[in-house]
Amino acid sequence: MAACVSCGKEVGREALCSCGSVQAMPGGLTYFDALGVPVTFALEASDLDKRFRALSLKLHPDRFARRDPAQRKSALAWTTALNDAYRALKDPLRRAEYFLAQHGLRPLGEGAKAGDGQRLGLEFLEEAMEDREQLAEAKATGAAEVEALRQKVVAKVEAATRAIADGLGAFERSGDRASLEVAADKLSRLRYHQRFLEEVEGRVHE
Amino acid sequence: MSVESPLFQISEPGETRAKDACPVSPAVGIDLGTTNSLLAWVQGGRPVCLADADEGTPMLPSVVSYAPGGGSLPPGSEPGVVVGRAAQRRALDFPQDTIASVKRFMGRSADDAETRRLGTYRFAAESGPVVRFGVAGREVTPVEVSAEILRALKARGEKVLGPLTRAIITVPAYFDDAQRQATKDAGRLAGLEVLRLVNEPTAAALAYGLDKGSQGTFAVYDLGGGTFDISILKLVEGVFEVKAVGGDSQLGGDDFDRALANLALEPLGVDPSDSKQVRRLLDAARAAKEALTGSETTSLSVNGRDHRLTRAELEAAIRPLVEKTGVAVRRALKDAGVTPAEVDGVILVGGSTRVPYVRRYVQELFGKEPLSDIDPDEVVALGAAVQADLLTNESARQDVLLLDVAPLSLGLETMGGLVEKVIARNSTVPTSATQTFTTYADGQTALDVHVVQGERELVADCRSLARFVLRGIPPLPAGLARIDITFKVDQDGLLSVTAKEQLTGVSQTVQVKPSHGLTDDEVERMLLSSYEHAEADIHLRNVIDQRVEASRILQAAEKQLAENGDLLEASERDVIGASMSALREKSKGDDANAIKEAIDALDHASSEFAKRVMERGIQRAMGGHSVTQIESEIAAHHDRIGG
Repeated sequence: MAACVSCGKEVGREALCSCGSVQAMPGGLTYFDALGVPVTFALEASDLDKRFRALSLKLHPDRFARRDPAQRKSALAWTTALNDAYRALKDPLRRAEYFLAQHGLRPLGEGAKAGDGQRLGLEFLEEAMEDREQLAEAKATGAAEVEALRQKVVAKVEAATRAIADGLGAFERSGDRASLEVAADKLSRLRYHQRFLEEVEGRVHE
Repeated sequence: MSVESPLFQISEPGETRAKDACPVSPAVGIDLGTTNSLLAWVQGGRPVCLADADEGTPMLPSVVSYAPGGGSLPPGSEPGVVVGRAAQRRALDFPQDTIASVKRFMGRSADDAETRRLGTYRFAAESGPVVRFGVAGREVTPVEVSAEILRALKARGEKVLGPLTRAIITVPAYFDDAQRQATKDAGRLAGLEVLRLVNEPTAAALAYGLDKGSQGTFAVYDLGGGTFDISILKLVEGVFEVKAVGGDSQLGGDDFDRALANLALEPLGVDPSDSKQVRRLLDAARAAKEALTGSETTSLSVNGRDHRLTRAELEAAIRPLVEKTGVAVRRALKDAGVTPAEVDGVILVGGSTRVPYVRRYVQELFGKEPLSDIDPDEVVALGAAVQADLLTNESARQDVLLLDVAPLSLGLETMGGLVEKVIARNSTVPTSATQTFTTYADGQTALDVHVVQGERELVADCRSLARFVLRGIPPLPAGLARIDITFKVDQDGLLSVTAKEQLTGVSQTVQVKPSHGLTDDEVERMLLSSYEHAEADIHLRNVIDQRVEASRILQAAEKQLAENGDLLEASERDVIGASMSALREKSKGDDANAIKEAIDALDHASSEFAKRVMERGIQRAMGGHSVTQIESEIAAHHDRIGG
């Protein structure tokens, strides 16, 4: 429990006191805390947007332009945390990544490197090599084949996205850690599929 | 450094508070433009531009003329300085003593390409960190010239409003740190406390947003005298969120004038080395361009000779310039994740958007007619006045806020001269990000941290911002040390970087702030080349990634063979050896896939070996070996399989 830096009133972990002073940012704040949303994967994009805007309006250093340096410094710290939290949570996949990290799991991130795929095990590696062979074949055959392959990969991405939401949902309902691990594995695969999709779409040269 | 966006600069502690205590004249908004400058303030809740009583227009030509011993116009200025229309008139007779478009020289060094463009100035030094003009027997810097313009505006404003002390000055979104700093310095020199620098397109949106009470996605297409800016903003419930910015810092109406002048140079027999004639030709070209807004033909007259020009000729001459804006627009839309159809309104800013061809082009680009209810010459100053009011007026509405972004990515150099981006371009500021790195060699105790800025994949193509060495990393097997590198960008766009080793807590912080920010040239070159080279870069990146991976795996395999080679039959050893040679060979080539396949092949060939190494590790554990030994076995195994 903490007292307001200006008026001494009890403020807990709140950013703002009713007297209008911004508090020093406590340590160990999660992105969920920074945005003041429940710790769940099932967040609505529109709610996040609303929270972000409402908090930005209150906490931005602009609002403290006429206050002392300590107040402006606190406003800067809160606003930085707010911007970072919003960026991490508004995208469902990054949110899943963060949620998993909060539970000690670190799936492959965006822009996973080719070598990272090996973390997923031999079986997946074989699938990936197969994918690549198929791509080479499709490219040799024609545009229609490349498009068919592209759709196949898109379907994999979509299926993985659903599986992640399902896995995280199941974990949140039952506390079953196995579903959390399934979600992490799916997320790693999805990042890999996304990378492969870029290759199929010709955004990456081989 | 130049992550930019001192959009949220705040006043010095105490200064504004002290002044708040007594009733003072309002903080004003100033559009310090390449061609014209304007001053606006909020009166009765609405922003208005201040028109000059004598000239009847709010636009003060951004022209400063120096004369030995002439009269002084703005109070406080050096003797012999005239600003505005009077200076413009002197330009014909004293082209070298009269500085126009000084904004293009802000924050530049004398070596920049700008100095070599078609122009009339005499430069006091051939090279050096700051441009110096030689005028009327003395030297002035762009900051001093800009300060004269600001003094003139301030003097105009004070006739109506009383003493003015605080202002918001607008800058192109693409202005880098050095250019912004130069602009602030000019304000200070003119006796103004610069509360904040605001990006011009953002200011324009602010003027429109409040005026129309609108919500939605806006594109601000700002084609001024010297720069082109495009910003994509979302306005929801009072918050203006900049989604993406882009532009071309060397494109504007002046280039249209030059293109027209080039058409007429030969027919009119103008000598390009005669600065008086060139000045006359450029002025005539500008007049012709303006005339062609309303009529189909005009004539360009210099030296008593006429050259007829049609609007079609003008359009053909400027088409390649105007089309350059389309590249930046499409990129900004993509960055913002918005299609042209999803843009609710296109705001036109800058006098060059009066050119009919530009309007047609913008309309085609977005598939809708652009908004132009607010005068494109005044809209930026009006928005700046609104922001000045928001920051200083206690009773101003508290439900409006601008959120700006970092226009260029920030990253670190990693193995093979590649850039690992830490903060992506267009991230809302202030912001921070941490990435964890590890050591590459066994027993490595120091890490070279190299901070770069730019969009390219290779360090060599980005701007180097800072370099430091983190020492005191405990000697561990490669890949075990964990070093967190944290980037923080504050609301002024200033970057600080901290490196911290997790086990020991050894850390080091640097404030990144080089004396010179990116030049416009560099920003432009980096952005354009990232476009042109994106594909080649990604190819090269793949190859380098695979080479780094190959070398790591080969090192690990060699280590395992040395330590645990006794687990293998001679024939098995040969198979692994052959795969290793094959991988070494492929690594020398440029085929990322071939390297990857050779990595996979080595991996496959050594999978049984890896299993045996693991088993030995477990047996040792059972046999009472130390935990660290097993950990390092496992780490080594991970190393080998690329974990």
